[in-house]
Amino acid sequence: MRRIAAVLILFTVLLTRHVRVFASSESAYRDYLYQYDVYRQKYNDFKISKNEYDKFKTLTSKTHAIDKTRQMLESRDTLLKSYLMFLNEKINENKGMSATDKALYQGYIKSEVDFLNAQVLLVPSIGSINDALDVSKQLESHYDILITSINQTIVGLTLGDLADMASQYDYATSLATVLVDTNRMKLPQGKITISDRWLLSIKNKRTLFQQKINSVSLKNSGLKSTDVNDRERIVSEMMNTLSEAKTDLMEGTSYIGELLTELKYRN
Amino acid sequence: MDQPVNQSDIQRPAQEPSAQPQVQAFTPVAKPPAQSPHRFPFVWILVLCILFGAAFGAGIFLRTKKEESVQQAAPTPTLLPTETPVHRQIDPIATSSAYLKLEGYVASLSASLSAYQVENQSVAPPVLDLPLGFTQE
Repeated sequence: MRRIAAVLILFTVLLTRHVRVFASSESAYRDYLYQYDVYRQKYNDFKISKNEYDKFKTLTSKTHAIDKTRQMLESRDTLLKSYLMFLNEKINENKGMSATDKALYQGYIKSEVDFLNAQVLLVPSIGSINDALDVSKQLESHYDILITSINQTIVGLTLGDLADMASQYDYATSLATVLVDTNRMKLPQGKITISDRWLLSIKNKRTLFQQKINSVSLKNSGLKSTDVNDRERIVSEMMNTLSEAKTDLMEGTSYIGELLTELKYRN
Repeated sequence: MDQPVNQSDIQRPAQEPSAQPQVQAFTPVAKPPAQSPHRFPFVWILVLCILFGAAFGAGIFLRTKKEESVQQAAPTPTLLPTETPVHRQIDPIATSSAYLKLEGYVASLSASLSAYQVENQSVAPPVLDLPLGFTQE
């Protein structure tokens, strides 16, 4: 009875640990979506009050506009922080990312969160239009650096996902190699030749995949924030290369399937 | 004995009645269009044209249908025999645990790769309008 209870407790602990890991990125994502809705509402209110002030230029409309601007700026900082927290949870859950890469991307996130925390402290002290402009311009001038860090993290997450799938692919390749080598003496020469050709094609696809991954990793580590158009072009190229790398893995997996079909029949 | 017929009596018209009949003045009436006795009515020409066209079209349709039915005749047997499916013998390797394990693993990996999206929209950053738009005071 005690043994059964111990097993049940252990099982429950393991299950809740597993559930908690994935639940944290899900809850972070829901929080981010909620903050996005709040920001959109605050931004609409800000636009309306700004238009009123631009039209009437009264003291009341100005006070109202400053108040709505404060609320919008605070909501904007909270939104960005919630998004970065969501990315942080995705990094924690990523199975293929190495510990070094996790520390690197979480370092980017931490530095951006610190910047936004400093921004949030400035918002309550906004008392005029000029104050609001100064505070907003701090984020505007930092925004390119923020987006570059976000892009690098997103590419890093994709690299981690593909690395996880590549390790599964390597395991399947090793199983296929062992299967062919174990049955080499029993198979006719024609089948052995065909099987070896398939194994070579499977390994070649893996090599092509790795070349693309290495190229993207290098570009990602050197991504700069100076030119917006250039940065967007490079990010787009990296994502295209990663799509091609995924296709290489898919084709290699289909080759393993062909090898299995070849081994399945005697004639 | 008959009296000779007087020529003047014959030639003379009958005696006019004493009271002249009253003739009503008639209003002029438009003359009906002159109809040529040899002209066929236009409406009948039109009807005949339609009937002729319908008959011509029906003839063409029936002819094409006949050609189709001729084309859909049963095919003549070819000289080349069709291949019968060859029954392939399964190798004992395919029943081994190593083979079955690999087969299941490959199916799972293939499904994971197919389902994975490189460009995941859920991790895209929020779209923000940054400049406030106020003029410096």
